[in-house]
Amino acid sequence: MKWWQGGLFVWMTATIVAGFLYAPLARKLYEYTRIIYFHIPAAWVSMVAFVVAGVEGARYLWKRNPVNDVRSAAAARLGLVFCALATVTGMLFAKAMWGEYWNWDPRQVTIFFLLLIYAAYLTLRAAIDDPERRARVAAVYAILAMVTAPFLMFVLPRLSPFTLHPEPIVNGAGKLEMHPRMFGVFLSSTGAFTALFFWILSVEVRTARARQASRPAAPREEREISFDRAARA
Amino acid sequence: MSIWAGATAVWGKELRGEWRARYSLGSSILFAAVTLAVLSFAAGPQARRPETAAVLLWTVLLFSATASLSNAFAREVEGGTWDLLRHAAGPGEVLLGKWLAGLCVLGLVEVFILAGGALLVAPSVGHPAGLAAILAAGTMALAIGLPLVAALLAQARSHGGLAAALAFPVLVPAVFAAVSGTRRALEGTWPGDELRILIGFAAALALAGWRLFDFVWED
Repeated sequence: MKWWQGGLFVWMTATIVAGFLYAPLARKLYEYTRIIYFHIPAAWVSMVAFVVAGVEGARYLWKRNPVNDVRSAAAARLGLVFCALATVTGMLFAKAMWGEYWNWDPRQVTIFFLLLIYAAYLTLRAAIDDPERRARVAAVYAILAMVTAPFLMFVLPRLSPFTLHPEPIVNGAGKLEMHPRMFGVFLSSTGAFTALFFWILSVEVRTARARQASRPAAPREEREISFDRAARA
Repeated sequence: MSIWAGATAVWGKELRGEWRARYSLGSSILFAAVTLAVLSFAAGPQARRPETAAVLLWTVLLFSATASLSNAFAREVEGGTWDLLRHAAGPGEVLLGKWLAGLCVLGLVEVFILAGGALLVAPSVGHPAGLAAILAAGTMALAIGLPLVAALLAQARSHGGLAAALAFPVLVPAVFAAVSGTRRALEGTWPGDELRILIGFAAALALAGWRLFDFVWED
């Protein structure tokens, strides 16, 4: 284990403990306050993954380095997982606070559409056999999705005045208003989740490269985009 | 040949093909008629309420647009004209031509849907100019977004089943804003915020599509 991996383990553990023992409860949210240290960072990381998938897709189109395609796909896969986590934790919170798992809150709906975009991206990849074409088409879709994401996450929720998201956390002005100790734990959790995402991303990319290297001799077209060529480039 | 001349040539080819075979228009109008009849029948008198009428209109429009525009490029692959088109015109000309042709087809389908909607649902329109503006902006967003997704779909193994799965999540901002704007226009308010979102979204998609289409079009 490298030193920073141990550091990340300590960081996450300390954040979880602080979320339960150090941070105060928010007004009207009771013990359900704790979920913000996991739900919002998961939603944040799903957005970060989205940007990484789009940026790596753009880098692939520019440089034609297959490593960028592998990173883009891995970021989308991880984004899907974090997005599902954000949706599920949000639903649990909704059930506990408002009595229903699904309330048609604009933010609840938009994060669900983000989930659908990730699923569509991975379905598109699965529907194309040729690796070079798959990488190119998926990169274009990832960038188009990146154009849609800010409208989904930041513009559309403002269109509807109705939101059940609690005022101390997300208010009408879109600002975070928390007790300083809550805010500290929240920032720490967001940082830890982001670091965790980049660590898993690096593991995913290394695994994909190892799988590629261990594959038997591929047809000519596949060899042309092999990682060896990328390394030479 | 200027880009505009090339685009109008592709546009003309698309419209001539549509006129001869009516592959998009005929099926889309039939699709719209069936969907409109089924949904308005299911909704009953409630369909006249602004919020229901707005959802009804854009549901029919979105599905009809997907039915007509999602195979814009798959047709070229299936007909064996993809390579021919690649040699005859540049990527920008092809995309612009497809956008214009899609706008024409979608405009005609929309006229039919509006006429059918006025006949079957007959909602009262509080702000006709607002409704016209929202319809124009929303149609533009769909006509820009759907051919882009269609170009990606043409490179996949199966086109039909994937069209809605790929296109709808990307077009959600346009549909949300269009439904909200239509509801406000039917209630008699100018849908300024929704118009700004629709125009901004359509412009962002057009710009991204214009920059990215070279990569989709390459061999």
